[in-house]
Amino acid sequence: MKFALPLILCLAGAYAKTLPLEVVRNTARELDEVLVAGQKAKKLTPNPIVDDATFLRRSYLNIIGRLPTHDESRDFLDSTDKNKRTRLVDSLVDSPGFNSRLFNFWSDLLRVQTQSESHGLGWHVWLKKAVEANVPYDKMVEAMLASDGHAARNPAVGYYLRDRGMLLDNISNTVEVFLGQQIGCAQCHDHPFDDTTQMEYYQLAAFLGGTEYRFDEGREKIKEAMGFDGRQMDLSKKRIAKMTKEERRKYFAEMKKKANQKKGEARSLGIVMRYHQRNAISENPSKELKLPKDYAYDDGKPGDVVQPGFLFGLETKDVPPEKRRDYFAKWVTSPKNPYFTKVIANRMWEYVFGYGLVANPSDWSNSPDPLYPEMVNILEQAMLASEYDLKQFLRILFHTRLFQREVTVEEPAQGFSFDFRGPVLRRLSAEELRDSFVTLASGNVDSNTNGAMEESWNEYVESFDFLMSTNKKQLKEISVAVTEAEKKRRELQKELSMLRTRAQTARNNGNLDKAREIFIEIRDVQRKYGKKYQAGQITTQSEATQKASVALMRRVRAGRPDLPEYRMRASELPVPARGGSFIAEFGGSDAESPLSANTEATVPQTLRLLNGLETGLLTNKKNAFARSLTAIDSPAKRLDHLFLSLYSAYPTKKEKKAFLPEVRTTESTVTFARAMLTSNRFLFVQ
Amino acid sequence: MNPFNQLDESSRREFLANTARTAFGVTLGGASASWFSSAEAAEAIAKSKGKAKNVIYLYMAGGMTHIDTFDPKPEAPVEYRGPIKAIGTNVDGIQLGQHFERTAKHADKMAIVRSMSSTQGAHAQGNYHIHTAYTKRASITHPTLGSWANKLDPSRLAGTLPPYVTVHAGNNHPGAGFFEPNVAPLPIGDAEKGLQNSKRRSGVSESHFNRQIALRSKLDSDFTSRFNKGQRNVRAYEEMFSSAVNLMKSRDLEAFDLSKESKDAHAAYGADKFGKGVLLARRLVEHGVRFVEVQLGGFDWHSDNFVKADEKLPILDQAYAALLSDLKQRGLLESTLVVIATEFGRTPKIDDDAGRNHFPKAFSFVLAGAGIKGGTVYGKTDETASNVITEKTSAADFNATIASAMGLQHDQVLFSPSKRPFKMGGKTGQPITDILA
Repeated sequence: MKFALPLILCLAGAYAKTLPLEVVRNTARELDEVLVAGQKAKKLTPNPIVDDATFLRRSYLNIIGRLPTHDESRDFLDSTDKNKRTRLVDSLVDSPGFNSRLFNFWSDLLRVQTQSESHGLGWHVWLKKAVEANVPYDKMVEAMLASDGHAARNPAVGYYLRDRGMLLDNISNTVEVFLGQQIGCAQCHDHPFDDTTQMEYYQLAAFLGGTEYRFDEGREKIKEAMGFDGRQMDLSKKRIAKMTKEERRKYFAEMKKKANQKKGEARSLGIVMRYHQRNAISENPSKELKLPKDYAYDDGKPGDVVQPGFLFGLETKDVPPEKRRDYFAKWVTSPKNPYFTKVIANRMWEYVFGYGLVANPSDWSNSPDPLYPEMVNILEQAMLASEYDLKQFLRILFHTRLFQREVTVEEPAQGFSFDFRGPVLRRLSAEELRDSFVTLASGNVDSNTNGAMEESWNEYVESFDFLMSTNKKQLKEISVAVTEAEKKRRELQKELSMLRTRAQTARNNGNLDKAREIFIEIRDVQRKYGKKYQAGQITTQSEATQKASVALMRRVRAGRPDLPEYRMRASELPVPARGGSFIAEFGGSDAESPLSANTEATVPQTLRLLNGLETGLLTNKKNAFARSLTAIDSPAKRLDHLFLSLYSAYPTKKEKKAFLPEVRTTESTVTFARAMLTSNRFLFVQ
Repeated sequence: MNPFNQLDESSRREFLANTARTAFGVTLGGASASWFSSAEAAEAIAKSKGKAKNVIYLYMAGGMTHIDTFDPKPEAPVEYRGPIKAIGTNVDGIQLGQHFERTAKHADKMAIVRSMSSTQGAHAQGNYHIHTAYTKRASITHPTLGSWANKLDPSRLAGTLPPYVTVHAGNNHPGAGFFEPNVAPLPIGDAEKGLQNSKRRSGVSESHFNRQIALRSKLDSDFTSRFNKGQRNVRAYEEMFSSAVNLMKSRDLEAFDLSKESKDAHAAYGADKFGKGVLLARRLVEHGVRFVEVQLGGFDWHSDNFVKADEKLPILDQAYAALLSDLKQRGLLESTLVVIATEFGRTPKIDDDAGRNHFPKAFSFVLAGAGIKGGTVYGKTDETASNVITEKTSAADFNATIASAMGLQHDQVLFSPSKRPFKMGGKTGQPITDILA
């Protein structure tokens, strides 16, 4: 440890966007030295260094999340450059594929739902840009936790709106994701295993106690457009005093009527803000969190107001009510927070080597002691020194000797500390597998972007800005149109529910044909209605306001990409992947709980690899892979091509001998390639 | 050499069953090695009166409201009961929420447990707890009921159909947990589409296909010899590959094909996805699948509880009633247990958004069919369905009850690879003997 610190501290000074290679390599070497020293003390021998082919495949998958193309494999393997491994790592870290894999990690950890109301898309786009711009981790988290207002103004509020109406769940997830602690149990009772009490839970939640799921700016806008400040009198007290009793009565009645009229008008205008209400949060300084009705401990009574308080025994000074969320964000992301830095360092370690130094990265209190506590410390130092620059931090890990070692033959025992004689063998993630297929079919598509999502979002923001700049007349026009469309929608719904009742009755009477008929009718009505809704056929307004009102009435969609999906990385598509899609089938995140993606084997996965559409890759001439395969005339070259494309390796002598006869004809080559696609050697990364 | 090339259909089945048993019985760790060969266990299963040869487990994801469904409180203040009325059933004294008109005709087959209670108030944790009878931990994944059943009694592993299927269950089902993958559920993502990709692609002849399989094991031979022993997931992909090939050649494959069902059957179960799922469950059970779980999602009604009730509950009512009628008519109800479960109830007091929030303190489960004393209500909540006042029942008790109905030992201890002891009925579960027939 003593020798380790000085260099790590140098790193802090050296930090400037991209670290010099020397600093990176020296830091990586220190990590290795500390690890090896720890292993030596436990009489463990680190695994040998892998061959070029294994390193190549591992680097592509772990750094940019896909297999190398045939050419990329060949170039690396044929190169005689002594520093080719170092160069490969740096070029991959600097390539767009690096962001792709890292974005998949974030969307899984944060449970991003692109299609949730309108804020989902905004948050998705925001997060993607943050990853691409390599925004320091602490800044990114703080931006989300301190966010406020409408998603169109600050898309980071998507973090809170993701759990709209479920504030307590949101805070459990925040603590799990960023601080590696499970406090969810304490929502209902003192935590049975940890120290967190229900009171502490509520004290922490109290930082979010002023959160309202509403759009204050919109309310102000309407008040302003109406020129209505809630005051009833337009004459001075003096003048009113001079009136006769009768005059006064008349004047008051008239004023009251006027005020009511204005209120009604404001209410009807309010409809234009209704959908925006779902896409904003605001801070209500006078709102406070109270203990639940069934609070059963001695330190408080049900209904008591709870004062904000931090966990981990950190002192809380007077928190101004209007700044509660800011304080919370600062506390979570502070380098002084005992978990914030360690937790992300450990997650990044897991991202690279397949398992955490602390075995349960989302549950530190229930993790066994790490085998190498000094490694946890030094990683924390490195994270601080790199000023939460995850790209440079990961780069250091990719430059370690550990990253070049053979995987361990035995998997880590779930929940136990792992010895890291080498990285962990793992199945390709759903996205990696999909993106590898995409790469086989279309070559390197890492630079292809799906502009449609950002475009949709920008249009939405424009329509929002327009709405917020409208005058009273335009606002009224929009509200009339929206009211009309709403009315149409309600009528249709009424029709649908009537049809449903009729269908139900028919079914109950055993008239199944009739019921079926009505169901078809229902489907038709739904379709017709859907189209109208999409096109926004509102007739009573000018073109200028039409766009704004259409945008008001539905959530913004992710948009249709201008490229086919198989020419883009998974990270360019909405998340979570739709049910039945390749990604969902292979265990992609369902965005319900943090890091829900898994690599569990299922029969449908195997059936898909055996017989699914994706196997067309090998036979469909539209695919680059199938084409290139048939263009090769010698069996030896064909075998090389297949091995380089699917296994990122040249066949060994033994393999050549065994498999050359299999690739003599096109037909047998396809059979052979199919076998490769279903092999574990293809599905796993060593 | 790959065995599939030389074996005919029946010996292939046998081969797979044997490999599955030998390969996986032993790898569970030393402590369990004695377990498979345990004569006592076999005897206990044989002796028991487990009537439930099959289970259809309907899971309402998101936390189904109890006060609006199986524990109605017509006398409660309106801010609790809301606009939903209670209706009578074919059993005197048993009432259900008004959306369960069709189900009401089957109350004589049902045992309603109104005293479910847990401490798990978040979705992922609650869902996990109900499915496994254990608390969700980062350090281990516990097995679900279907995996337990096939582990404790492996007799159904010998068939060509998987003994455990989930329908519309999503990606986070705990499945086989720490058990080996041969007792993992086969997940069906869309009942109407059935088991997809189960036929060879056009242009792939049987001999090509067999060649492909043989080549695969040749390609993997180094990989397998290096990793098979130490890596559970590598073994899992081996196992799934065998099962998939086995299934493709199985005559039972049509069990997954809903187009073989009559139009009337489709109409009876309902036009929506859940109805199809329940219909598929019946088909699978009929073909010998032991445990089928079907999920219906979207019960998390934090707002507009009563609008959503109108939309969602008739779907459950229709499919459930149709299933009970259908099973009865086919003579399968005597051997099939039907369960309705969910992660927790909803707050009885309606909030400002006309919503109900998470409420693990009191909720209801329903059992019907094989091994169950129909027409019973077990346990009771107070006048607002807010507290369990008698016969408090845990997820562990509930799972122990299912184990008993299946003739399995709920307290048989099996060890995880980390050598910790676990039971089908959880740490402390006791079967509810009052509702067992």
